[in-house]
Amino acid sequence: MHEKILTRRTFLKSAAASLTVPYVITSSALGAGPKPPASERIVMGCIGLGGQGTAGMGWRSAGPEVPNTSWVPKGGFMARGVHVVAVCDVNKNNLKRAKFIVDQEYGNNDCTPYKHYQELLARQDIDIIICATGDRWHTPISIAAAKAGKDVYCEKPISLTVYEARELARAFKRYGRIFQTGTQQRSAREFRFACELVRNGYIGELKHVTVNVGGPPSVCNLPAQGSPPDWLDYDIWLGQAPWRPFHPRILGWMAWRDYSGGEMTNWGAHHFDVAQWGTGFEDSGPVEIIPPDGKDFKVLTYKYPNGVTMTRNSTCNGVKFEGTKGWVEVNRGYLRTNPDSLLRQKIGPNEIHLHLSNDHHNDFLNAVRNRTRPACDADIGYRSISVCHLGNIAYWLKRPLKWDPANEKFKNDPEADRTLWRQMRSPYTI
Amino acid sequence: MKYNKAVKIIAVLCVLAGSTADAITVDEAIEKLMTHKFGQNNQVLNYLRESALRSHADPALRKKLNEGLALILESDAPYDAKQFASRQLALTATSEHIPVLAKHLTDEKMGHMALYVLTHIDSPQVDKALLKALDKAAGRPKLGIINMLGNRRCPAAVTPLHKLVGSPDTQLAAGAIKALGRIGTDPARSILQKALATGNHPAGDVLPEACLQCADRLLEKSQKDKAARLYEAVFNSPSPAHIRAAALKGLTDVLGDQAGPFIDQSLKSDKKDLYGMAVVIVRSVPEKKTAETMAAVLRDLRPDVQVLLIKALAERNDRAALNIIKDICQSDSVAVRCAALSALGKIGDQSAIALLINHAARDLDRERTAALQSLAALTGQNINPVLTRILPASSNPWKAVICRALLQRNAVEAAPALVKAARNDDPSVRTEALKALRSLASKSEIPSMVDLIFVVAPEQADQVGRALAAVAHRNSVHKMCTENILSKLNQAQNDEQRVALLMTLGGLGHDLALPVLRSALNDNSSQIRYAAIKALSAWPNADAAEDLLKVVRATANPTHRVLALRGYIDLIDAAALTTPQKLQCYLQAMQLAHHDAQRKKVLSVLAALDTPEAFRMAMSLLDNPSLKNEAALAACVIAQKIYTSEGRQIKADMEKIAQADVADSTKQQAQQILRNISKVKFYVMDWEVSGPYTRKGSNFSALFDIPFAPEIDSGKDAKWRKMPTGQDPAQPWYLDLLKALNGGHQRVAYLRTELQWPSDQQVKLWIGSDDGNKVWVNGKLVNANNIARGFTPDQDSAKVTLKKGSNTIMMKITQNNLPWGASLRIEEP
Repeated sequence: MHEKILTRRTFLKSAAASLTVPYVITSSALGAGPKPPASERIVMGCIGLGGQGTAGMGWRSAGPEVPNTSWVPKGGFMARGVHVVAVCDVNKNNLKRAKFIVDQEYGNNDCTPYKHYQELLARQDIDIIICATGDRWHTPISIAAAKAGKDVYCEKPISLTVYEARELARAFKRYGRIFQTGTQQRSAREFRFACELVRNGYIGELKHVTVNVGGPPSVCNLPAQGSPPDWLDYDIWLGQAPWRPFHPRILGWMAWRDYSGGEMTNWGAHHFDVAQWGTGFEDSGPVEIIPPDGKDFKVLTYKYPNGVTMTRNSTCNGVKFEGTKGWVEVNRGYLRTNPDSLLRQKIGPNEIHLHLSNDHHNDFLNAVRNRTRPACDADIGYRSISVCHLGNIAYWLKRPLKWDPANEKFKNDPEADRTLWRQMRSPYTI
Repeated sequence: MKYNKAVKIIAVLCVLAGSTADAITVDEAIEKLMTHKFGQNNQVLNYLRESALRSHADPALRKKLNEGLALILESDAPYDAKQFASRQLALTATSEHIPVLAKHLTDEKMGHMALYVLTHIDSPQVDKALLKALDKAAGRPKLGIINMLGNRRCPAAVTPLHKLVGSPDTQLAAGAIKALGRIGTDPARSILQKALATGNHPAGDVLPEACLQCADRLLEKSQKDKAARLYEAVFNSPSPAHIRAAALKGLTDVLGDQAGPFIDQSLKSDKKDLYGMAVVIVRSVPEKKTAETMAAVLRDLRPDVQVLLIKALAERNDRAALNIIKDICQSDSVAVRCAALSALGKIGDQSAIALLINHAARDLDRERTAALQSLAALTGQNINPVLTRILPASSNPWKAVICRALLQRNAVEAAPALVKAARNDDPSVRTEALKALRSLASKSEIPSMVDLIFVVAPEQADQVGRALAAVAHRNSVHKMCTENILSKLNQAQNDEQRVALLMTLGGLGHDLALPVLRSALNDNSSQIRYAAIKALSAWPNADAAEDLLKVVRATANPTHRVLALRGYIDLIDAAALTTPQKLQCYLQAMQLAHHDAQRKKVLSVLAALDTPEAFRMAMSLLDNPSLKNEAALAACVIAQKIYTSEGRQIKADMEKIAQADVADSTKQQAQQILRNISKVKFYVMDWEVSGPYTRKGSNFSALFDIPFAPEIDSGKDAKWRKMPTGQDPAQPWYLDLLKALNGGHQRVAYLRTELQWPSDQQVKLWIGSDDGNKVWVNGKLVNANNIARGFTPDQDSAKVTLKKGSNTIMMKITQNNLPWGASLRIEEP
């Protein structure tokens, strides 16, 4: 008798594994592998070092001098072998903290802090940057980086207006640089699989998409209150936005239209992006945008040229695609289908396979090394964020709009076209 | 009078500003705006904004409003008012407003707001106004005007901008150069190209960059020759490589497939920006001919650039370089071979199958992986039929590769061919065929797969059984499979085949097989009895437990006894029994165990439990010298799961393990748990959870004020369950609702705990929550914060008085978007 006899449980485990892992995931895709040699090391500068920027850079056991380290995740680019040599922020406290973290990581004092991003971009030894500033700075810094020969990982939303994003996409195409939009749901299996199900017709003909995100920002009318703190360069912080006197709450910039598209572009940059991915309109967009009117349209509604409608509604978890034969609902760590059997569907070689990435940072680094297209490049990022901006414009103008995705303007509506860009405050420009 | 006006405004805005009636007039609102300061007059501002929007379909209102807004700009109203007026004019202004806006162009603050509006007015008068202001303006306003002249591509600005190129103010000079590039007329080109040739320009990349912009504009206007000359001038200039690379892109755009020599030169450059740009161009250029030309030079490049170019050609998906890439699979460089093999997965066709199989059958790991992945990815309706067709006649190494490829391609139509392949004498072919069948075979293949048991070598019958179980499980045909095996039991010609059939029955776990397996326990053949014990050990529920215990108690065969006891322990471990039931069974197994190995086996499964009783059972064996390591380890594993609620009770035992003569790793684990116990000292860890609760159309903010079952009638209808805690060692006190309630957003959940307190005492609660929270202590609301935010500990605090004895604390936590959780700790004075 042979000792090595399989038990039923092993049978079932093996069988279950074959059902639930449809893809081959390489170790490199998961970020494994040895530290690259110095000659192949990618050198990075980090611009914007609040919570998101610091996490993206890589928060590595900062120690007791940095508050709240026990619950801030480690990871980011430093954990993936990228060498950070410079940090930049107009907030002195953020800058000091970032330098401390980087120097502690490498055991030296070499990380150079900058207030002006132009100085960081002028360094010839820097290959890539992460841009994690406030929204209003994403486009100007990213375009400047492309012109300076850097590849860019930019947190979402990539722009404050539609035309900023368009200019950003044009610049990265023009300068042949790599750009990754920080929409990491593009590198999550559940979202990719959900979109592959939709794109391959497993829910029949797609009819409707529901996207659950927060709403547009407000107009800021805060009074003047106090002076800007001495740790902040307020003028650069304001950037392109019209000058206004300081108020402490202004630092919560995401609430205000001058600085952000609000939750529509914050979470919208993720979920509308997934919606565009699933509908297959990632290089185009909707043709009608209808704000809630209290009558026929209770919620913000988009119409695509193929008749698919999309609404912003809190009736689903994340994004829900509904077709003639079923539906797919997806969010982070959450995937439901109808019928259930779709969860076990394998996508065959002759079907549509979407960009395979299971680690958004590493996907960017692979694209940098290989000069290939990353999961969410500037073209895709532009079209996705446009959907968010167009929704905001419909909310602001309070009337239905017809959009021409090919010509990138509203149809016969020059007044609405005026909302597609804003003149930047001098000296800031792109 | 002013009071009455204000009342009117408020009244109107209360019924939704401006939508039904105009109790306030535009004139009145403008008058109010005259003295506006940031932070004031929200109602007036809202009214004017609404008016601007409504005036889209109301020309009279638009005229009135615009007149009023212009009046603000003309007046000595504060900046705050003028900024607001400018914001509305950005939507509504016409060329009539150019003069009033132009007056502000030179103003340090208002200059921007004037440009903010003017940028949207499509009139040549804007250019004139800008040019007029250019001389007078200074500093930031001047730079703003320069930038806008560039953005508007104003040809008339070339001469004044040219004058500024030599300005000692380097910021202005750079702005002028950039603007000239954007204007992109021939005179602008002449200025820029001349400066580039003479090197007479400010330091940095501003000039070559402006030349590129200028060339881009010329190209847009179909002035291809001039554009090409300018691009070439930059490409050949001593500019940094990334600028020259951008010039290369321009040259490709203007020259199309005639740009080959430039790309060729760049691919052979040692500048990564240049060869990097070249491969990006190859990847994205629409002309297939350009790609073909570049593919032709592939062999002349350095291996690292070859790899990049192969990847670029692969991304094109147009098979421009299919033959060259197939050829280069023979390269001496492993990296190049791997890149080429991977590329074939994207652009290959039927003609690449043999080549890929050949490489996949080699011993080199990287190469084999690349080739196999490409075989799995090849597109085309004829790939699976070709693989299936060549399978029978292929060599054995090829057969193994084809089986793997068919599996990865999910080629269910190949299952009959795979069954035949599984009859192959070569073990590696049979193994791969059976692996593929596990995922690909349907119920139609089950009879022929059962027959395989009678064909394969005895030692491989278990592989067949494993595949059969997987197929039955995947197709939910356990009964059919069991019946088929039972019908063929008497066809077995030797004990090996009978053993395989019995083992497979165990793997299927269908009730129909139980009598047969029980009977086999009494078979004359020791081998058959052994197989029956193994099969029953794998049973999916506790139905076979008693049979195994009988063997343990009755058999004289020590091997069978050990096997049955081990099987019994495994079966109980996997069975859906309650924790007390399992604990009882393990006690029984411990009593029946004759050897330490068996006791260690019990300890290993005991560690999966999470009760104080299980912990105590593990601790009871700590003093046994031969079991102390396993006992300590089991105790630590259990402690990790219960320390948040049982910390005080298990602390002494953890300290004992930390001092005991056990493995260092176990001692460290105990010390870590002790630290965790210390860390959670002030956090409330023992919670029940109820929810999630949602209401259609209500977001997290609205849900905050909607009472659900735990808030209604003292929560008598609420359903509570234990809240898992302590799962993240870094923050064991974090109550992760996202994990506990399976994700989601726009919902709320409740957390509840009973807290014993030694005396009446005022304490401070520190609450962290993502997103908002309400907190009740003994039914009294002590904190309410309706907010959307990320989690940090101690975001809110509330002073409360706890009473002696039992106190109930309940939290309501709202969820906007991921993540979702909370913490609560108590600070004593």
